[in-house]
Amino acid sequence: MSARDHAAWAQAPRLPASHFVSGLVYTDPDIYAAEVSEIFGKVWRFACHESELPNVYDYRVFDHAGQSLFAIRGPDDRVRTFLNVCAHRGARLLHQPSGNASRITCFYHLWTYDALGKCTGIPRPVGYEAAGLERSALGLREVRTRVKLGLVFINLDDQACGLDPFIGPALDNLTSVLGGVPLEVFHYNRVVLDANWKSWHETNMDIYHENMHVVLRKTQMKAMPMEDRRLAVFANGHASSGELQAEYSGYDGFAARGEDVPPLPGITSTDFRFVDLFPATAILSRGTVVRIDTATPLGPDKTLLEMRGLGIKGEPDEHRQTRITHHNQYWGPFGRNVPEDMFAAEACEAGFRHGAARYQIIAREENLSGQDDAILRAFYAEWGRRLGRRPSDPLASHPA
Amino acid sequence: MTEAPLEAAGVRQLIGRAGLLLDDGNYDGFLALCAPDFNYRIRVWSPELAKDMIWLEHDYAGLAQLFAALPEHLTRPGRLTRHVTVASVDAAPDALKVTSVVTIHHTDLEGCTSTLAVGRYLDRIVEQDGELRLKSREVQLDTRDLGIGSHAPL
Repeated sequence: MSARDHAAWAQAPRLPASHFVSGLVYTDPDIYAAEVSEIFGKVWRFACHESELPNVYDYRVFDHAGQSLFAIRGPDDRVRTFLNVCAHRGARLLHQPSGNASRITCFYHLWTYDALGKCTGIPRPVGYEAAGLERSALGLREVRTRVKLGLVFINLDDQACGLDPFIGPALDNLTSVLGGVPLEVFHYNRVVLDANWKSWHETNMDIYHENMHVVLRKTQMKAMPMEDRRLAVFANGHASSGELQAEYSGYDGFAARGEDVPPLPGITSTDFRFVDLFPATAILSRGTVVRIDTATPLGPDKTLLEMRGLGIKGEPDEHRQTRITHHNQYWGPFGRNVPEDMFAAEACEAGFRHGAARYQIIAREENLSGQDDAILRAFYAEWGRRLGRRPSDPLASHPA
Repeated sequence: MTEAPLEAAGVRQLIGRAGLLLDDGNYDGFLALCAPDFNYRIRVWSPELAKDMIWLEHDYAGLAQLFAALPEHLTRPGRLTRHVTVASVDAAPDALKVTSVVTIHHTDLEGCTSTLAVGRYLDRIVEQDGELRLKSREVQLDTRDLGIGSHAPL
């Protein structure tokens, strides 16, 4: 028998529970709400790159866990993050995606704040004095912020562990790339995908899907023996690649990669390295250029993607242009790979949305080489741990 | 700058035809309207970074390579329709400078049409062998969320 009837189709795969995922994890509204509060509300999350805040009082607005926040470089050069709402009536404070503001003034009643989050001005304070309300108690809500290798991370949970214990060694294979020389964001775009956030992030974690990309079939899959590949999984759901290679001459127009601009520190032009940070950030380097993408859930079937491309800060124009070309060959809205990944994420969403697809199989075992699904399994193990649910059967009741 | 009426008519014909050829996926036909030193670029202003970004750039040969590769790629099903309005034609020493307003719609396989992008074509047009040719095209996109994106030029 090959095709299955309804009952057979609805049955869970005959696999260990760790090797498949219920489609409900993509569609159930209660699971989505729990993800926002128990995962996104409690983990360290990449917010922006410090090059987006080069000067004192530069700020950058972003969304996280359904909330608007802004990171701002203070007069002491430290980056802090605040909820982007006024302490008075809750109005959004900053409306531009980026800018420079030594004083942040709410448009509504002109309350003002400084870059440390202190409330510095309230028009006609006499009315509040009568009520015993003091300005010193009206500062902004500060959000924990740490900068690591130029990456600005934030955490809404004041009780969560520190950034370093959370990340552990997951960024080690990109330490030289991200930290060897100052980098700078030259590309940023955001897209609202009709897909669950995990469907997108799976495209970063699923090595096996390289079969989908003609560029990877021609440049990556034959560049080294599959068994020589090295993948790594870490505590807290993170993962990274070790030794992936590309052979760019395999794809027309890409052969010059590796000869036309110096690689980033500690990496060769043909190296491909990536880090997947739980829950939804991926950092990739193809030798000469870096991409950072972050998924922010907007609903069970809506995801905000932010994509960044980075080169070396202050590099000669011709180097920058070449890195932009390298970035755009694979990534960005016109890249050869990214539109295909987005197509895949939306196609999976369409499959699971109304229950046609029931399970996702993540059962490949290749000893952390080749096209092992171990990264996906590590992700879902952490997802299950944080939500107190089994990814294979997420609506079943089980002990907290 | 004054607009030369006869040239302007030819320009409108050239830009209109180029749009139709791209809509039809007739990339050889589109390239036949381009000068050998043609340059194509998509430029987008990022308010987040406060700088311009280049999202796609190719010379004639690079564009030909891209077009040749398209059938192998997984692309958005359906069809793009470019609505191009030539807004100004100005004479410059080495070329005609043409600014057009463009709206690009996507029609999916179920026949549902949505707006994919709006922006401008900034074209430079030259005369070669008695024919008007596109010497360069810069697409200045106002739209920055292009959904799943595109392998093909807009």
